[in-house]
Amino acid sequence: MNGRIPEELEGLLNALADGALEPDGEMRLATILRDDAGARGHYRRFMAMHAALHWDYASAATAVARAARAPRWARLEHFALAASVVAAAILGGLLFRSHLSGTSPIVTVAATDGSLSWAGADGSARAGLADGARLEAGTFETDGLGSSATLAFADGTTVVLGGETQADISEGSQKLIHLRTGTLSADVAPQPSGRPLVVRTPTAVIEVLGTAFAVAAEPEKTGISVQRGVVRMRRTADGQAVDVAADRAAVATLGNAEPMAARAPTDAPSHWRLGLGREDAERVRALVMPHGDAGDPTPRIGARPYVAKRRADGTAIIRHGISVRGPTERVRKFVSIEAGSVIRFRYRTARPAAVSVLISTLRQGRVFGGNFEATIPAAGDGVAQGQWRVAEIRADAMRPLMPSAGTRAADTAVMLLLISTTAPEDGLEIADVSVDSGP
Amino acid sequence: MDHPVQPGPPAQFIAEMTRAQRALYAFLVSLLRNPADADDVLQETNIVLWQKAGEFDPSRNFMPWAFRVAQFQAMAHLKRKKRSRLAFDDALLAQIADEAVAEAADMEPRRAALLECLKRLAPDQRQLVARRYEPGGSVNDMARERGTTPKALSEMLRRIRRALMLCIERRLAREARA
Repeated sequence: MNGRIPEELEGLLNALADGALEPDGEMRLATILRDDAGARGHYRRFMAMHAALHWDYASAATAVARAARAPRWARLEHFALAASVVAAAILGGLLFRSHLSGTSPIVTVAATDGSLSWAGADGSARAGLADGARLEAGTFETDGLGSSATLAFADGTTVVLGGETQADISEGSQKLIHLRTGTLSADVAPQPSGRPLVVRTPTAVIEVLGTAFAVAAEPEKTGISVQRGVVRMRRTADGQAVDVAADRAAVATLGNAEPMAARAPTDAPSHWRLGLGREDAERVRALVMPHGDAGDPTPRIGARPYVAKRRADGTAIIRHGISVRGPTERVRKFVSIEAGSVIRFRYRTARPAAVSVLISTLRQGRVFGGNFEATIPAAGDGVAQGQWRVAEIRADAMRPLMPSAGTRAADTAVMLLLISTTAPEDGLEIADVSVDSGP
Repeated sequence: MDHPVQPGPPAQFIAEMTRAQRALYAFLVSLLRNPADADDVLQETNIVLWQKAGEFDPSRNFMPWAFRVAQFQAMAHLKRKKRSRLAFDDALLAQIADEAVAEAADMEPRRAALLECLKRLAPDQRQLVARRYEPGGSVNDMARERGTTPKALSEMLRRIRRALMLCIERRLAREARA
């Protein structure tokens, strides 16, 4: 029964969809459905379409809209809480609504490192966006582990998306960000009363009126760290909420075993060494060999391919290396960089190859701290291939890739460390990675 | 106060649960007929799924199991709300649920077809759909904004939804023949 819906049934379904179905209409609809399997098929398909439109257009802010009507939050006019949140799936190819006035741009790309792509509500898509591009509401994605992008709203609010982050961003009566996965930091200009900027993740809703904060999201947990102002974060699992003020952090998990609490953020240590135990291995993207292999028992990590960035035509630039990210509850920070910090590791390659080291950072007081890079030249002819070499890189001497975010790595905390070469044939292997505050 | 930390479900379960969110929401809308209620019940369903993760057999299909959990939560929600079940009684809801479970695999192709069909709408029609489905969108408000009657506005939406439904069916039929 895939043809056109009979007229009476169509009328009832549309009335139901628009909240206009009277009780006798509901009775009539139920009678039709009860007796006719074909009608039930039409009903299911119509309601699936109705649900899909709601999900894509409205679910990003449904909770906020209902919270505005809920009297028990009426007193908390500075926070405007969310009532409940749909735990969102991480999906690609999403449809999204455009600005109320039509198709007006809502953000400008202020800076990029790597590449940024965008998909709009009308199905259009752009990749490899350049600084200065003006974009409408849509799905923004930083392509590649080392990519970052700064987006600026007209009111001065800036949002920075970290590597492999996907977020739906819109601005109707208020700014809405659905962080599907990844990391973002934001410096939010004061927002109109009753219309906070809202960030939704799979496990939490965060509302801000004017603040600077960073948030990391993955399917089962969200971590937030506030630099300035105050936000309210509500946990999807049980509705528990916590106010997170400046210099505080909090975590919302998909489960509700632990009470929500804002706490002083645990500073990332200034000394760090990559272990190859299970906990570290879960945050490392690489071929982890804690016991080496049959031919060589040296504990080490082998390079794996990853998308570094995308070209304007959408094709990927692949690099081969290891990546290390910090825990979500610390918004990915895992080591602090000071003026004398040194990144050390042992490495070897199967053939001469330049090795690139990149760090992505957060900066106290300014949130996103910028990306920094250093390149170790390929070994000369005098070095035997396969021989282990030691690399020592002064963090403060690394080249800034986004000067607008910072020109020095000192006084930042590392969220992401990438060590890579350009080709799989390079056979990069790494051991004994550490960061220390001095020589 | 001691709060023992429970071990979380395995990564595969979390991935399945994340992938199922959209389909679970659509399933709940078909049972509850109200998207706002579906939001609430989806949250409750997620909590139960999380709690029952240890009972799930990973060799089974996740979606039908999750749908049944959602169905139970929906029925409990209707009972709590004391919604009249003279019209959509338990037997009808069970029938709708059974048939939806059997068709769960069709949801993603339909959604993909909907995205393509939305692109084929005229710009003013797409704008109407966007306005209707954005937060707080109501036919009465939209009619006022456009200087028309709610009845006329409803008729516009009805024609658009009809066009979308037909487009979806045509696309799926073409893909089935390909």
